[in-house]
Amino acid sequence: MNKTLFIPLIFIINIAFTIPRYAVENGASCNLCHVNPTGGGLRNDYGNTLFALDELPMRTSESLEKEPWDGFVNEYFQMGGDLRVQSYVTENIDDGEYRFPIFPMQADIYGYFTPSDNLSLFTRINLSGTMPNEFWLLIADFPADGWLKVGRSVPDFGLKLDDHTAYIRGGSIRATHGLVKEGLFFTPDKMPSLLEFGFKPANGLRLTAGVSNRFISSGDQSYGFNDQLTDKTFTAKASYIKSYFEIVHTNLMISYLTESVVDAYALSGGLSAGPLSWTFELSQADNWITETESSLALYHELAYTLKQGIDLIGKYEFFDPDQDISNGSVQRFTAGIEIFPRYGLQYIIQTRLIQLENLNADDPSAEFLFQLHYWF
Amino acid sequence: MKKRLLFIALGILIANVVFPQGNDSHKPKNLQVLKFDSIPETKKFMKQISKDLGVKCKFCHNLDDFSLDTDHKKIGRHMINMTMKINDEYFTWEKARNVTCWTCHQGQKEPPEKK
Repeated sequence: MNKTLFIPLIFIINIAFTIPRYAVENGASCNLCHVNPTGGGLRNDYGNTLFALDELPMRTSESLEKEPWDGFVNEYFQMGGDLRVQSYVTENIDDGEYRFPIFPMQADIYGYFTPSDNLSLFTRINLSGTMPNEFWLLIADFPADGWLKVGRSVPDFGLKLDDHTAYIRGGSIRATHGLVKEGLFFTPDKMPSLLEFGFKPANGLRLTAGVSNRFISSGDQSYGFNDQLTDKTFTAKASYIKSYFEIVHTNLMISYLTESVVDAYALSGGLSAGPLSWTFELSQADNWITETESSLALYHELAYTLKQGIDLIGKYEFFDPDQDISNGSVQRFTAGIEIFPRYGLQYIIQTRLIQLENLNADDPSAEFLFQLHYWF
Repeated sequence: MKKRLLFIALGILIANVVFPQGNDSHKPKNLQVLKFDSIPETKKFMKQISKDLGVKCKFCHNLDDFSLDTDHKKIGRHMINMTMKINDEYFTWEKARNVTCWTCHQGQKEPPEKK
């Protein structure tokens, strides 16, 4: 195998994490397990004390009287946290030596205050202090399970994956393979102020829409005092969940985002039958890199639950920053295993292989990744 | 960072002082047989059922809306009713052990048949 470019796989990040395949497998939306109605971050009562405790790990609670603390300080205040420590092995292109860093990928603590069913305040604080914090107020007393969220958060678009290096999210931020970009614009440093609402017009159908300060072109955390309405970012998403024969679950989502001249579309979702699940996304972003280019990102994930607490994962990803010209693209194959030995603990072991197309560079050698994730 | 942590600790303290007890707004929906007033009570009972039958929540519930009735949920409601009736009418002596889901199901969806 040829020498590779040196690629830091993951950076110290701070972003709302979610694992969409669990929503697909359970025939539900992301807020089945998360307090955020659009998914990610702190787990709710079901996510924490039912799913994570009894339905996810290999070792479940034997006694209802000896369950671990669920983060609820009282009926109104819940705490939580996520800690991810990651390590990887990859070959450095410059000297041919292997690098083996160990670093904190995520260190967040959460607070969720719910004085009544219809009013909640959420905050997520990044302990490293390197990335923007998240906070929002959720008002949820509108008809059709409607809600309004105001604060600073990630706009609802496509799959909100737990892996920000996926090309459909932020990808490899440093883009060291020779492409002008190696992933879309949902990088972890983007946390705009937003106003978002959603409702459920029919069983299984969810609609969300939002407006936020621009974050693709500016990338900063400004309050948009000088922005005109046309400078804002608008998002809309429709998702539909349907189950068949009690064991087959489907989830289909259509997302749209526009900011100034940038337009982005995503078709995403998944299919689950028994222990097998497939999650996918096809995203396109027009006029983003330049005003004539159209970028394409693909994501496919196949997961097989070997037994409760052990998932085998295979992924295929593709990213082409400019579909009009054959100036290069990248695809990535991932194989791995995710183990949940007990409540609050997850091990991720993966190997990734990157292939470059139409680039004057050698394919990098395989990368090996290990991640330990603790949450409560 | 210390200020943030101090702020959170203060928030927890205030939450405990201002809201020390339950609130009627946190109530389970569509309970027709069970007489629970709070979600934690209901959840604890449901978890026991899931362990007794060896099933996950989605066996009986529509996870998109837990309060919706499903076929299995209707059967479950019928079974809970039956169990409550047995306990109320037949196991009435002092220190009588209650019949539970486990009594028949023993960790299985269908009660095991024994000859």
